[in-house]
Formats: sequence, C-alpha cells, structure tokens
Amino acid sequence: MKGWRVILLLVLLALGGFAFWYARTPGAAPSQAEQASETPPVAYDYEAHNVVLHQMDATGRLAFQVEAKEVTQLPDSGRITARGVTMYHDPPGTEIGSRNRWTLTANNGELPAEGGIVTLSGNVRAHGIPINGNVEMTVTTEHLLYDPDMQELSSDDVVHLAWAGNTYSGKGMRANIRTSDVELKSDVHGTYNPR
Amino acid sequence: MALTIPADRRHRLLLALVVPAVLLDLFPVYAARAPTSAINIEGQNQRLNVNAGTTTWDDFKLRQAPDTVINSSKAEGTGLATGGNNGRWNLTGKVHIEYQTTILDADTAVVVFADGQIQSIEVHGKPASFSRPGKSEGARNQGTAEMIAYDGGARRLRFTGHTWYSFGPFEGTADKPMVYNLDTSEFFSENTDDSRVHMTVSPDKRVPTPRTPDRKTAE
Repeated sequence: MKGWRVILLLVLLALGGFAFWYARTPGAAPSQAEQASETPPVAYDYEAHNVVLHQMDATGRLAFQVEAKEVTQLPDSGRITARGVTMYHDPPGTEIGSRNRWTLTANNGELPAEGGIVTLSGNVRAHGIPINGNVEMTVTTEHLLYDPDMQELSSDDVVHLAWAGNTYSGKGMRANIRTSDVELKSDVHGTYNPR
Repeated sequence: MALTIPADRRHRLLLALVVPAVLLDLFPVYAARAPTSAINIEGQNQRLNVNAGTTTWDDFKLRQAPDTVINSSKAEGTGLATGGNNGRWNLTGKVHIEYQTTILDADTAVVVFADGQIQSIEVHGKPASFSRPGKSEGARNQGTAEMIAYDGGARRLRFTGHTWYSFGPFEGTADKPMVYNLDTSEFFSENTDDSRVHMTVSPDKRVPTPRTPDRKTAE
C-alpha cells in the first residue's frame, strides 16, 4: 500500500508540473484578466477621409491648409496624423494663393494640435518662390520638419535642392523661406548645368 | 566617264565650301569654343541665398570636364542667380587650380565664369606659383609672382610683383610685369621702355651637349 501512495504522489506532482508549464507556455489561452488588460484603448478620436483642413494662426490668418486622403486625431496629445498629404502655406505678408505660396507634399504628415512644427515623411517635396525672389526652389527628401511660425524647413536626412537650373544635395538642411537662406551641412554636391 | 558639274552648280559648291571656311577664319573664337560641360562642386557647410544668388562653401572642390579642377579651403560665389554657368568665385586658403595644362597654386584667387567657361583667373600669394609643360618632353615652364592673372580671351598669363620664371635651361627674375603666352609658351616683358627679358642660364639647368655618336658602334 505504501508503494501505491508514493506512485500516486509522484503522478500528482507530474500532473501539477505539466499544468504549470502549460499555463506559462506562449500561445496558451489568456485568462480573462489578461484579456481585459490587453484590450487596446481607443486608437484615435476621429478618422476622416479626403479631408481639407485649415489651420489658423494666433491672429486668425490662415497658417496653412492641408489636403489629405486620410486624417486621424490621437486622443492623448490631440496630434493629427495624415496620409497622402498636400500642404499649402502662404508666408505672412503675402496674398493667399499668390506666387509665393509654398506647396509641400508627402506620404505622411503629423500636425501638432495647436500649431507648431509639422513633420512630413515619405517622398517629401516642397516647392515655392521665396519672398522677394523670382526663381522657384524645390526641396526633396524623406523627412522634413516645417515650422510655419519661423518660416523654416529643416531635415537631418539627405536633401536634394533644385534652384535656377542648379542642383544640390547634402546631408542635413536648414532653409528659411522668408530670408531665402539655405544651409546644406555636409557631403554637399552641387551641379551647375550648361544652358 | 568624267564627272562634270554644271557651271551654276560649281559656283554654289564653291560658295558652300568657301563661306564657312572664311567665317571660321574670321571668328576663330566661336569656331574653337567647345560646348560647355556641367560644373560639379563638392564641399561642406554650404550656405546659399537663392534670391541674392550667393553661396559659401568649406572644403571647396570644383570640377568641370575635361580639364578643370579648382580646390580651396573656402569659397564664396556671387552672381549665381541666373544659373551657375555665370558667376564669380572668391577662393581663400590652399588654392589649387588646374586649367587645361596650367597649374596655379596660391593663397587667394578670383575665378570668373561666363557661359560655363572660365573667363579669367587672378591668383595672389606670397608668392603664387605657375607651372605647365614646356615644349620639350619632361620640361616644365614655371613661374612665381605676387599676382598671376589669366586672361581667357587673350590666352595669356600676366605676372606682377616680384616675378621668377623658368623655362628650359633659362630662368630669370623681374619686378616689372611679365606676360606668358599660353599658345606660344613665350615669356616677354610687358613694359615698352625695356621690353627685353633678362635671363640667366643656371649651371645645373644647362642642357648637356649631345654626345658625339661612337663611330665604332654606330650603324
């Protein structure tokens, strides 16, 4: 009898060990408590398609206009993300829709809730005529920050710049639309093509 | 069967052959002007003002095929608003210019482009130096001066300030402007009062007398 008790105890211990191992194995069905804790929060406040969005500045003037294929607003920060973005910006002191209007396009964009720096990524292209200038300037890159208040474009990535039949590329850029100053920081290549 | 050309066609043929030849002879500049190639620049910390057409570079390296190289520590370009084919470049620090077969090294320089071609170069140094292959193989024509200016139209170099020059076995110095003709490889004084060029032959530069062939081994 004593031998049977020992065998039964060993079997019970083996079953307990197997049950413990099974419960901890990935892929096992989660408990209800775990299910509750993993339920994602609401991903966004709203989502809209084929949107035209107008952002006003503190004076009530149109800071920029965004057209996007899809727009979502995140609940935590109020930040707006957009896909298939075309952005229009009329620098202060210029007429809305004038020749000095800047057009920026990108696959993706992030707009802060209350103005500030706009982040564009994926096939970013910005083009326009600087104030007091006559020649269009085009910037292409993969990531671009745009500060409408400071009238500044900046990027840490490789940037290509075309202007007056000349092309430049370099890593890291800062460009001021108002002053028409452009700085390409390193590994700069420029080509002046024959006319 | 002999080929015969009617008289009126002969005149046309003659005109077709002669007129272009005369035009090319009258306007050799246009005949000789090669199509310009793109100007390529590499460097660091480029600053550009697109409205003013001005730019500054560090570690400036300009290349234009087939034979133009311009390097300097810093460069400042102006007059670029209508395109980089025209423009004026002020270069400072370790200026090195290779243009066609001419090499210039200097402390500062001004290079002017017109229609994509170098119109003029002016280099300054203590001293600035010039070098290019001489007429005979292996020989180089060289010179140093406080200022050396290249005139693209006249294809001449003008040396001002204290000048030292050397070509073949000859060398000399001058304190009056000297001119070097790039097409004929001739040095001459620009002054009208004393147009003679004073030269000395350095012993170590003297051309050795050709040896008399050994008749025993001569074929």
